[in-house]
Amino acid sequence: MTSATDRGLSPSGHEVQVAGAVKRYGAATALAGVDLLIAPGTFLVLLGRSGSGKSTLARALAGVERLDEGEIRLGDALVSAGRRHLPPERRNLAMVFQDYALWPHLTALGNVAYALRRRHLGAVEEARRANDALERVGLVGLAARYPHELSGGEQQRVALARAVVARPGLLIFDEPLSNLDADLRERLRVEIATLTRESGATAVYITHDQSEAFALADMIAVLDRGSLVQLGTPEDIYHRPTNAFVARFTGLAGELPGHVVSVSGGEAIVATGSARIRARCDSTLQPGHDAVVLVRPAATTLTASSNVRDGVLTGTVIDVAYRGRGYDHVIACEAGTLSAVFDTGAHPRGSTVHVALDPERTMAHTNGDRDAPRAVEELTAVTINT
Amino acid sequence: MASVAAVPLVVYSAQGYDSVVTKAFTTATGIPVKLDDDSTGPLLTKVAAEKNNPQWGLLWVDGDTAFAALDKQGQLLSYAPPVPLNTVGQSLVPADHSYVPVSTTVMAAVIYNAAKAKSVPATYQDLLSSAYRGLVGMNDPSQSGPTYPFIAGLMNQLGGQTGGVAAGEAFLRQLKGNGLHVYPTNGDTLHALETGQIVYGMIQSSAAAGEVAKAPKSATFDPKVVYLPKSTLLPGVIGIDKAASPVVQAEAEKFVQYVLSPAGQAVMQTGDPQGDSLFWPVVPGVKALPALPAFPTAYQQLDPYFWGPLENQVNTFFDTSIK
Amino acid sequence: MPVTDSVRVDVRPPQVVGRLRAAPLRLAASRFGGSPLVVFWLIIVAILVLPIVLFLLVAVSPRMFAQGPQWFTLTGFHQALSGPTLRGLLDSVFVGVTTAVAAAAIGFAVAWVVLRTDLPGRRIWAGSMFALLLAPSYLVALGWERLLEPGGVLDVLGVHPGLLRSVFYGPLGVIVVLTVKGVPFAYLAISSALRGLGEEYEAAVRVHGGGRFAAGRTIVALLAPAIWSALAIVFAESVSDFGVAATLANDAHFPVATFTLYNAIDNFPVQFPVAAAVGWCLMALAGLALLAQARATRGRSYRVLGGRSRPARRHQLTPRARVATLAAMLGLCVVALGVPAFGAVSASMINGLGSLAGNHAFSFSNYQRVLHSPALYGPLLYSARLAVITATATVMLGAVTARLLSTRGARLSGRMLDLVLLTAVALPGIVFAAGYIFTYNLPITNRLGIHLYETPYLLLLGYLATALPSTSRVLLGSVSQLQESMRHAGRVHGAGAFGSWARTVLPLLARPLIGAWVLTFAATLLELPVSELLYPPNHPPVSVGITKALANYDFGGGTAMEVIAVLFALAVVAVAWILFRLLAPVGWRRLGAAR
Repeated sequence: MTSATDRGLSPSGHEVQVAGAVKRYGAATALAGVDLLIAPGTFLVLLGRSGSGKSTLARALAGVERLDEGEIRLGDALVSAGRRHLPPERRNLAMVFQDYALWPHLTALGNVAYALRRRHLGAVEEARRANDALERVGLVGLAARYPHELSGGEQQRVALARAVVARPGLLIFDEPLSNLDADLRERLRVEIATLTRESGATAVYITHDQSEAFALADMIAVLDRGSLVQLGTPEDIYHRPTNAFVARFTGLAGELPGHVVSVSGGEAIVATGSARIRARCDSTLQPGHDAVVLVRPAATTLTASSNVRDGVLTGTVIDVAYRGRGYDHVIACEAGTLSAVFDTGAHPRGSTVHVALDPERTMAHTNGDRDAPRAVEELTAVTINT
Repeated sequence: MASVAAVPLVVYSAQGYDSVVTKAFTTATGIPVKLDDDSTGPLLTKVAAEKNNPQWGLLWVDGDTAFAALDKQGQLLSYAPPVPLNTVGQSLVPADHSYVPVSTTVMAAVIYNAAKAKSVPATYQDLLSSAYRGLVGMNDPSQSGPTYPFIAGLMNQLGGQTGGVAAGEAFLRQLKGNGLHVYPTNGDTLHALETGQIVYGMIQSSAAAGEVAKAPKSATFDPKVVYLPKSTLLPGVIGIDKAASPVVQAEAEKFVQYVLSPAGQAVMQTGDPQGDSLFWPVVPGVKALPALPAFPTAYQQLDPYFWGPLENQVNTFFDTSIK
Repeated sequence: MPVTDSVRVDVRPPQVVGRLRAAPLRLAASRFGGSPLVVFWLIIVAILVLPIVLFLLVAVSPRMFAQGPQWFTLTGFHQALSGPTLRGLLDSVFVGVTTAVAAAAIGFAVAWVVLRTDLPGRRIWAGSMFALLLAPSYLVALGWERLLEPGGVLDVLGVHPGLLRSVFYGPLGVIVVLTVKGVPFAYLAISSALRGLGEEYEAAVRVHGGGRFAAGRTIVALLAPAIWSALAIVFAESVSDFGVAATLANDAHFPVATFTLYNAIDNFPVQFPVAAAVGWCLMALAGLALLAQARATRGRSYRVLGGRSRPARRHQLTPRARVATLAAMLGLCVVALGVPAFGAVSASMINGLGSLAGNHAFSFSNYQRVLHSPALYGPLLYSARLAVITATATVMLGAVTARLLSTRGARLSGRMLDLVLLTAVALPGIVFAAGYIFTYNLPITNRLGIHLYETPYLLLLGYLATALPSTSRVLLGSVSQLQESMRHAGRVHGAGAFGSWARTVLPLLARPLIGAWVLTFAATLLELPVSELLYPPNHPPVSVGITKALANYDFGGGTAMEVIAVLFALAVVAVAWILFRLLAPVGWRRLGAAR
């Protein structure tokens, strides 16, 4: 077997290039033409809801799915184009699955060592590196255990060790943390982040959890119904979402419908009910349009003063939740409901409060694709049965 | 016509006409019958396994060696039915009347394909000559029940009870040296005859007569039967369980009487007209079915008390040396 | 801290008092193993343990069953372990191992083709496996004979099969016929497990550098319980065979262990002590098979079937591979099914005894004669009724058995159960049935008021015992894959023990259970030795009638009856599958369906 370098696949991070990727399952389209360029060593997160195509794209990168149209390049090698399809075992990559996919008939050490076979190192070196990898993920005493004897977190760490041990050029993570409990998730997220960066591989990480995405990513690609909606750094995505969908997906305190009164210099004034709110906007918004004001949680502040002015909403507290460092309130305003409104003190339910909105963290968009029907739930689980 | 709530008579039988006969018996006497209709092997296995608590009232199979063994174990009721038997029948009755012969066939009938046979043997020794080389077939005693009596008959004829098995073994070895074919059962030997693998087959008389009666004749296949001296009698025998209740034993005795009656014999002859019904009667005044030739004049009766216990040894010899 | 007026909810349900009272009783029962399990073990003892143990006991204590004068003796063993029997044991092991490996390999290949490739006609191949189940080994051996004999089909066609004949009438022929008999068991066990295997394990191999071959080897490793199940059962079935070996190896001087046993039983007086001694040897062989299985699968867990499994996709065959695979499957079907079909045709539709020389007009006269015979219609329906009851009971018991056998951590009870089951298979049917007579015809049994002998109930128990080993092994593959959490999820959400099982586990097992039902129905319909010995007088099963006809050299009629019985069974199988497709919820059928 020729080595990865012979084939133009770099020994540390591949550059990943996807052009016009299309994949259909019967009548449903999972990928509707996706273009991506990932620089070597980048940690890219594919963020989207179920059925957005992120899993399909990752599996196409892995070679486990074949595209109907489009090309994929890993490094200099064209791995997928029309009829041509380089099988997964020749792409010098590794994958961590949502349900671990550890082979139950092998021990933890066996699982990790298996991934080293393609390096042809000999049994001694293989065992050494596998033990090292297990030590790196903190499982050195459990090498001889079988998967069923390990907890969920331990299994996922074995899967992680298995993925990085052979130092592949591309690491693919398919929602690896969604089966773990909250505190474990955070710890393992850190492991993933550190190990991946240590290895220098390019990483493609799939999740639907935006906080996970923001914590891990160098770059985020937001997918919706098979199309790439926005590609950018986490800060870009957060502060300058291209449309309402991206904004909603990346964490809102609330949405307030209204219509645009005036627009000047990238800022719009939107009338919602009896209040007027200032929000950032792009050039497509014009006075007289119907718009929705998307409010980030960080935009809200509870004020006591009652001098109502622009940008201040009045509402009633419906719910209070203690968060340790303070309280999150849910406030029903005339225009809509705002949640995650933070204050160090609690305001009792039913009391009237005033919420000030920071225009920097408030966006106004035209009201698009809110109730689009979910055409396909989980595309990759559809069986085509005759 | 008899009572309503009679105890059923349990009959273990391997005969081809048994269900017809038992039904006719019930109609004639009103005694209900529970029939266990199996091949001989499983029936005897059952009888043996039930030894400490027999469930059968009456056993009816071909061959008297099993009954001799049962008698030795004291399991049979002595019963002499008030029906006189003909000469052949009388020779088959044991001294202590522990069982009753009710019909007989012989082993062996030499069935040959007249269209291909160049000569017809007159004695068993003839089969050793070169004219019959590779053309003769017989059954395997470990798989074909009637075949052991045939082999025992040869041994009896050649060595007698004093000489034992030696002369018969020698004869069989010579047959084997002359190209003897062995097939599992009557039917397989007949099939070999039909397909021309052999020209002469040594099988049970009822099978031979049945084949002659029903096989379509052609230019290449014309089955005929000859009986060589001596033909060994193979009786159909009924034995009654000694441990059965007196009521059941009385019913069984009535059954034997019915079977030996002209009505019973007639039913036997209608029950399996191309198989077991082709027997020679042991009851005087009953004629064999027309498909059967005259009873062979040179016949012998084997002493089952002597030859029965030797079956295992002889079958093993056959298995290792002749097959 | 400011006060929040959150509402406190009392989490204790009000019915807790009543529940506590019931708990001690259930606790006591569970200490006893759980009350439903007690019933299960009682049944196992009654139908399997007692008959086997009592039969084997005859070897050392013949007097107990009036089979000999001694209360304790070893003469049975002396006679059994003589030269020919020892050689027979070795021959049996050789035949058994070769057959098991061949059947497992072929069964795996067919399962793979049907479930993981896109070869056209997959339903036909899957259906042919069931048809194979129904082909009695008598017809298989007969078909080969008619093909190869002098004056047989090949001869008539001008092909002189001299060499093939001499090779086939010996151990090779025995292995071929027994392999054909064993392939359906292997296929059923392995395909059930293969269905439940999601594709992530293969994908995991591929994305970590393993090629197709490596992925294949991983699948084989993951299917180990099912494969070993298949191996063990085919081995045991082959070891217990007598009929095929007697017909084909008749004059090849290739004795198998069961020859001695059958000789002991065939003679009168029957020598049960010798037969039982051979039975001990066969049980030892079964134990060896299980030992091998235990060593191979020790320590690991194979629970891979749960809700998360992604259904596997089918491999697309290249045109060349497609042609080659198609040819192989056709070849397999022709050899496996065509030969016995041919044997059936030649014996039942050609007049006389099926000779092809001379005039060989095809006719249905045998069928016409037999259809009006009282030996067919009534017994066939009777056997069908018994087979339905047996199949239903066996599937239920078999699922429980498979569950017990698949429990990790090799509990002693599971091990013993396995040994008992496999011994039941390794012992020829006729001695197994004799064990029933020993057990249920004991004077003590009658005094205890148990009058089962010579009733249909005992026949049913015998059928159940005969079918349970294969059925539970066929189910073992799927049951061992079930993840515990499936059932626990049901329990936690309020369903009781049976309810949670019915709602969560049953759908996953529906297809394997139907397969097992059908398998048991077919096998029971044509079952012979237990039927012969245990049937209630006046109510013969159809197999007894068939055997009688054949024994009275009515080949035509006997074979015609056998063909009709087989067709009847096939019809019932087809109806069962159609009903499943029509009535089962979509989700049940969807499981394991590859894309």
